[in-house]
Amino acid sequence: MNAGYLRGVYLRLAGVVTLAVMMALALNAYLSQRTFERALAPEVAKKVISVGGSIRSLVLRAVESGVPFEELYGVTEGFEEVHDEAPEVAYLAITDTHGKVLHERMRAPVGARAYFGAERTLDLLRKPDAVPPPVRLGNLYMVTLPIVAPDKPLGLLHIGVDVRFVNAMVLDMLLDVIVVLVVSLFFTLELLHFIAGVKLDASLRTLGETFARGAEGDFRTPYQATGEQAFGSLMELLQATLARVNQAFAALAQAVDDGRRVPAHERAPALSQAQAGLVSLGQRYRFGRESDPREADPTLLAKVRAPLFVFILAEELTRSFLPAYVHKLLIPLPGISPQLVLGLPIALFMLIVAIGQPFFGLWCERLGHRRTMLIGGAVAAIGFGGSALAANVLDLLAWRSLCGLGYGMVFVAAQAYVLDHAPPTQRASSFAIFVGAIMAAGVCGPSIGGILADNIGMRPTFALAALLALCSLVVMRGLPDGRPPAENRPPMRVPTVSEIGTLLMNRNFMIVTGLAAMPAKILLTGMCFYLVPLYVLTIESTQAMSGRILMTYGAVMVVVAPLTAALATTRERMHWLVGGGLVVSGLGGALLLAGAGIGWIFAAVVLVGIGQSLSISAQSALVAEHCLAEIATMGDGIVYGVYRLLERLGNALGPMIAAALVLFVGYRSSFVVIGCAVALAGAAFLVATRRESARALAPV
Amino acid sequence: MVCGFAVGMAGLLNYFKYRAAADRILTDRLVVTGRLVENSIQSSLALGLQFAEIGTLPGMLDRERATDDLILGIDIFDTEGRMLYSTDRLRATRPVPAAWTAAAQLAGDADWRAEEGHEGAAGISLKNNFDLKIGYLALRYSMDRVREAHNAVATELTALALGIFACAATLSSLALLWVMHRLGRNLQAVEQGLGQGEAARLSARALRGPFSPALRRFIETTRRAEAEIGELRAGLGNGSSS
Repeated sequence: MNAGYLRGVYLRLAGVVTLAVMMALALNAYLSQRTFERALAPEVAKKVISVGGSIRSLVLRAVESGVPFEELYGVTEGFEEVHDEAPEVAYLAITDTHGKVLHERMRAPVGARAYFGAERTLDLLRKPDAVPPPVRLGNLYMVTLPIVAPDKPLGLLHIGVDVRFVNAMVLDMLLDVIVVLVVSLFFTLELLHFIAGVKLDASLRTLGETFARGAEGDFRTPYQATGEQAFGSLMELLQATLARVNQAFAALAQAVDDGRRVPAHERAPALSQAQAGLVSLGQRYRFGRESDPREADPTLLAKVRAPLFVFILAEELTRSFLPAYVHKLLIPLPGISPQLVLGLPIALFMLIVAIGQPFFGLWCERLGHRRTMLIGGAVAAIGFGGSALAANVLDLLAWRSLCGLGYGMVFVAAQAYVLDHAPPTQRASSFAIFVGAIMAAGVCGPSIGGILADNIGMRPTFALAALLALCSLVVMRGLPDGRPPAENRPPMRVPTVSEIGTLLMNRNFMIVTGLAAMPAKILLTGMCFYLVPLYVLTIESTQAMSGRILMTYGAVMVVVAPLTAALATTRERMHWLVGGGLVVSGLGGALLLAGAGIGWIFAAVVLVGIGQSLSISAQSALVAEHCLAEIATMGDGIVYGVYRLLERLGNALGPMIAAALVLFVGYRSSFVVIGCAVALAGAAFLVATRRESARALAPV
Repeated sequence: MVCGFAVGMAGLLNYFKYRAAADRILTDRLVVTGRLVENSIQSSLALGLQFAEIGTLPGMLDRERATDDLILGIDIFDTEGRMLYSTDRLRATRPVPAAWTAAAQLAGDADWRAEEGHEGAAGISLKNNFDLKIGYLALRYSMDRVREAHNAVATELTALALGIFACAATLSSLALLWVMHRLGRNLQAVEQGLGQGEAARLSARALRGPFSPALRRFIETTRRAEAEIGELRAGLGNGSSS
């Protein structure tokens, strides 16, 4: 009962803060947007006024040279030139002192004639230096400048700016403000979890558990003190009550023991009854001391989330601009095309993570999670710092290798930490901490990285990533040292070549790995990490935009993945989720057949996000479903180790395949080719698993 | 702290975004003037004039400078960094700042920006009618004026963020106090109930509260266990057992 009540209290507390933060962020976004509009609109008008000033000076020069104002020649051509240089200018006209149009270019907006002849407009002729505010006419903002010669007023120059241009600029700002809102919210939730959530949640849980222990007759002393509690006096009272009973039992046991030590004839007559009573009490209640530390400190598991989030955020920060950064550092490498070189740092990073994973696991077993994470974090921080200072692409490759090494170590150690500290019955839900940190960093990192790269530059953003990695070290220091005793955990080992070979030749294993896991990762890294950031820049967009697009992928994953994970309950469903997910992801790439604009890229990435969300949980669960015999022979560590190795090799192959495709067919077609290939792999997966089901059902 | 972090970070990112947008508009505004000059240069070159000997160019540069009060001066230099024309006669004899040539060369055909002390420059590459690069054009502007505009927006955003933070922090603190107050009352009732030591003697408030069933079971179980232990202990001490 009170577990639900206490959970409710925690949710209410977290909800109250989240709601307040959301409202504050929404208000901040709204008011900031208004500030931007107010500050930037005059700047846009000044650009138009500057253009107008050029036209006006040309006109005045012509008039000074003796050309009558009404008979100016080549004005329309001059207007054309202005339109070429400033495409937002959608209308240009020169009127005389009565508002009659002498020259004009493009279509006049509704109400233009009335405006030109209006007294208020003509009044401007009396103020040669006046810069009136823009006036909205139809779908244009009209800026009017007087043309006044030293001896007399000549007329007025009217420049119309397309409303859509101003709206697009405001919308662009609004999009970024929304991105900032979402990112800040995710950040805040992580911070809230880190500052208060872990302790408060743990305190409430401990309170509930203490009640439950007393009610169930579990009077054991906790394995270790749980530290400062949020409800200190009540907890002390409850624990003192439990300790009192535990001590009374211990004293009784001691008394019985003492009684048994004396010669039989001196023993108290009630000793045997007391002994029987002691046994009976021991059967109905639990006394003594807790043995499993996982039962004692529920905060241990949650402690890994903050350092993991900060560390992964450092890496994700670079996601949206890394290919552009590589492009900046390109130097000619004999025999390798620049497109391939652009993909090398991503591929190398992924390759190191893939190949290093089994070795990092062994290392983690020897050194413990904390030390492995600390070393990994430090190595990655050096890598980020070096990347910020890289002189050319070769330098960058070396520094990114260090980042890959560090990332792999932290990733594997954090995964092992969760496995070691999760109660066996809550392993799946405990993994939500791990996945949640990665997903939240995936949402925040690329978008913030894009904004920062556009504003402070790519090198300082890399430096900031290094700083974040260093900050993660500070939080990692709070993790417990050493690993809990490996009770039922088999010793880790690296898969042998023959084991890898056996699995590669295994049809069931390769259906899941070769037709699903690898294509999914090739699509993810090839399309999202390589093609999107580069393609977005080729269509004249910004790194912030590529950050927004990649954030969309993370946001879709955060929303859809938990829903689809709940659907993966049967093998049949898992097949449909994996196959369907691949087809949907593939359609994302193929979508570029329909259009090449930013909107299509957004839609493509959303489809990839949905597709990956559909398949991601079911995919790894299917390995166990498909490879029961192999797991029985080799152990799940080896089977899953080889699965992860191949999956991550897919990560490494993605950028290389995409780069090769760009070389031959260009960016847009590369999206389509990768998408179609993955959709085909998904269809092949469905066919293969249908056949397999049919075979299983066929009468023998 | 959480509210402060959220609003502070959002404010900082928003300011970055504003600065990027304002700088982009500023560059566009200056570059459009530069392009008009470039068109004029191309017309002169088409008439057979040499790039370094366009007699009408200084006058045109002066006129274009006067079209926008932000422009401090317009300079034109060749691909080797030699100053050819400038609205500021003194600058014509000085070398082109190294930051300009570096930024211009790095940008290739794109627009570029560079800063040197209190002055900034937005520039474009100049090409002849055969699309060959013949030099660069830089439009100088006052960095102090730009910073002033940025600072004004930064101040406004900071004031906004501070106000919102104060409201949000107050609101969330009050809401938290309200939730905690209810929890505190329930916990206090439990503490008092525990102090009674007997489930049967629990106060009405403790009995009504959400902890009532758990508290009852807790007290009953501990009492029962204590009673059994006490009984065995007493039996052992007395030499008899019931």
